[in-house]
Amino acid sequence: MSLSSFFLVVYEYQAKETRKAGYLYFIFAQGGAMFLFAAFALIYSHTGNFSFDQVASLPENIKLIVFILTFIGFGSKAGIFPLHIWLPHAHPAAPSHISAIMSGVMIKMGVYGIIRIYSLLSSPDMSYAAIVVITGMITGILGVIYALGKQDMKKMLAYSSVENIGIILMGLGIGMIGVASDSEAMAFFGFGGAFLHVFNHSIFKSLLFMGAGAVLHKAKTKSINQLGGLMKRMPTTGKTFLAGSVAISGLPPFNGFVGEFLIYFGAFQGMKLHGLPFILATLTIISLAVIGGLATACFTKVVGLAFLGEPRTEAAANASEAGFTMQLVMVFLASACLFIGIYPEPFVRLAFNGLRDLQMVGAADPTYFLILIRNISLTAGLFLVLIVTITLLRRMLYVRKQVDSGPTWGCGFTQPTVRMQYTGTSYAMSMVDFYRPFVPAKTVYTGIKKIFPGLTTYETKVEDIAETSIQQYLIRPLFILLQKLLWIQHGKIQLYIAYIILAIVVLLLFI
Amino acid sequence: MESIMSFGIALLAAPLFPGIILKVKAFWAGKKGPPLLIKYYTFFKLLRKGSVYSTSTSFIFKMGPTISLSAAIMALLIFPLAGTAPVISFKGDVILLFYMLGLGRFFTIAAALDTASPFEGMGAAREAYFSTLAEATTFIILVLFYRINGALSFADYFTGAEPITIMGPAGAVLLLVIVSLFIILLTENSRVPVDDPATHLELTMIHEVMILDHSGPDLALIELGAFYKLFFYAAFIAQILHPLQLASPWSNGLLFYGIMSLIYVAIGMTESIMARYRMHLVPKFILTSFALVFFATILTMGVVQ
Repeated sequence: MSLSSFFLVVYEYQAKETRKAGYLYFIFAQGGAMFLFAAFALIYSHTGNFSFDQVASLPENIKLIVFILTFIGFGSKAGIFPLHIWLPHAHPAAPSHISAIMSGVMIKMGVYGIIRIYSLLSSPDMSYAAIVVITGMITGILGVIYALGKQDMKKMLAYSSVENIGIILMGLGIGMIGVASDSEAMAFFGFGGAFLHVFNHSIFKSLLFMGAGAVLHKAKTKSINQLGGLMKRMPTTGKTFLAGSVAISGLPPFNGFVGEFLIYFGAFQGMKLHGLPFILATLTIISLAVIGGLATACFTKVVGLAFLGEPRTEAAANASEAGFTMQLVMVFLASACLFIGIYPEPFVRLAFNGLRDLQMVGAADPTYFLILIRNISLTAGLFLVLIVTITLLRRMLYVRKQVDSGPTWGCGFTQPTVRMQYTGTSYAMSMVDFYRPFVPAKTVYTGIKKIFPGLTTYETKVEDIAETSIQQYLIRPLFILLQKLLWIQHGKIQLYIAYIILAIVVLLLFI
Repeated sequence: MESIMSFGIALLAAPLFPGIILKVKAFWAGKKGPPLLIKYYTFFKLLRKGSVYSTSTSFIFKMGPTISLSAAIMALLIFPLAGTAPVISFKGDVILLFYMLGLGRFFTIAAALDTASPFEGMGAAREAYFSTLAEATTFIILVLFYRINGALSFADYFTGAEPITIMGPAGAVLLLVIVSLFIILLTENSRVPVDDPATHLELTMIHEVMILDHSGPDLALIELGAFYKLFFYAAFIAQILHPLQLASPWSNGLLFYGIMSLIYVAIGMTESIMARYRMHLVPKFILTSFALVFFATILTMGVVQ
């Protein structure tokens, strides 16, 4: 899977950026696989075969090491912090429909791996839950803040995938806490919510990536700061993107809310516990709330600045609607988001059915939980009715009224230009600033130096702390070390043959 | 039936209370102030007018008022008003309610950005920022309430064996909650000291600047939504303050609306004696509310263990 998707990433190999992204992806995919091999080797050394059957019989401490190794291995595929850094490079580099598959489906394989190993180990221990929940919280919160700080639409969506992986991990972690502390409801809602969110995320993330792809294709840029006013030029793309944005922000009556609701509900069951599980559950609830608020900020930014307002560049002003087949797909996915939001029952049932294979959760009757879902469904329906009623009422209020149009009020300023609109950077800056130590923002300002100032430039860029610190503390020392060994590689073929002979001679000694 | 009546009364009465705030402020300033029913007059005046739409706007701009009003009405449908049961109630409705309000905010922000005005963009950014902080406080309050009486719906908070009231055994802890809820009320409803609804300079506004381009019935719907939202937060505090359930629904209702009036008077007093904070102090103000409830939650841990 990693190999074939590597070729998908480097599809547009002519660009240097794409090759770099592909290379990074390759390193992380293979590095992750190394950890998995290490885990399986460890299992083999204890059980003597590669079958999964005897994994459960490993000693407890070995189990924990196996779990951590596989968590790192699968986590690097899923994009947990800080192993996510390939994701915001690889996903934007790939063509948009490929990004849709990668973000929507492929990173979930990592999640599947984590669940699978957890269920095989069948060890209801709190330490597993703690690892997963805490990683989930860090991944979720930092993912959404980086998403907020990025002005490239596809990069932002890639970071938002990181955030959603965080939410899914929190759900899994809540489920694991439930298993560890014998709280059946908590386990049910945690795992169920995580499963449902996996499914939901694949729908709205695909939709959003396709929308971003359509924008990139028609407006020739994916930078939010150069777009604007696309809702009028690309109405279907705009409306479906709006639906996807509301869904991914976890707001009712769309599907994102249902998954998050289940995770919340599971976490609230943990309030009855004491000590560590209680603290973890509380932190999960607060993290989910913070992520929810930041995701709303993040997606109002994209919708509000790329699709609404006035176009900031010529290219954005000349954009036209995507092709019919493209529209069809986006409309289908957007209606799926709304449909699951209003009628989640069969999908929640599906998620709960998935729990049957996790032997540790037990076979509780899911009908009790489905009552809850029916209530959400009912309220969502009522909410839609309310919106329709008020919309009709509003229309009645405008019957035989004078409706004019004019320019936006400039608060007394008479010469507004489109360049004066709020940009994505300015919109996000105060929020990014708040999380400063974890989200360093680099500002380059040439300043005004002379009496008659020339051209000045100002640029603000949010840097990924994982990327910079891996570069600084891992890659650079490694590079310096390896450079010292450069003399081995001198390019003289005779000496290389000598190396080989020497190696064979040394190996022969061992026989 | 009782709940629906109570809900109807709330819908009708909500615009009355902001009039109290204006009266209190006028009293402190030594003025006579506008009549108590001023908000009704403005509402009907706006309904009679037409609208001017900016050429930059799209359908989102018209959707904003509708959705924010619908979300606020949903909040009142889920919340138990004046001692009656709420119209809709189920386990977990608290989460739904705050997410509904989040949806209203999403569309208010989107509508503001739709005008292409830099001022409205600025207001939108601030609204988004401050509400992410307020959201954390809201949910830690829910955590605390779950600790206290194990419920996850508004109806169960204030009824049952261990209702959440200041007179109950957890009353001391709830004092902290009331203070922080009041801070959240001021934040979410754009009151002084977070935002000044009466300020004259667009640069210093948060909520008011976001609705600069709305006019006529659209503006009326937004204002109505704002009244309902404020009413919901005030009712939340009022229910915690509510000392005891009286036998007759009428006296219960009277007591509830009496407490409500006191809360609005408190808002008016806050606005009279305080100035708006500078923008960089607002996050600290909101985080104070978070710290208070977090502290309260730690206290319950000690009690339980």
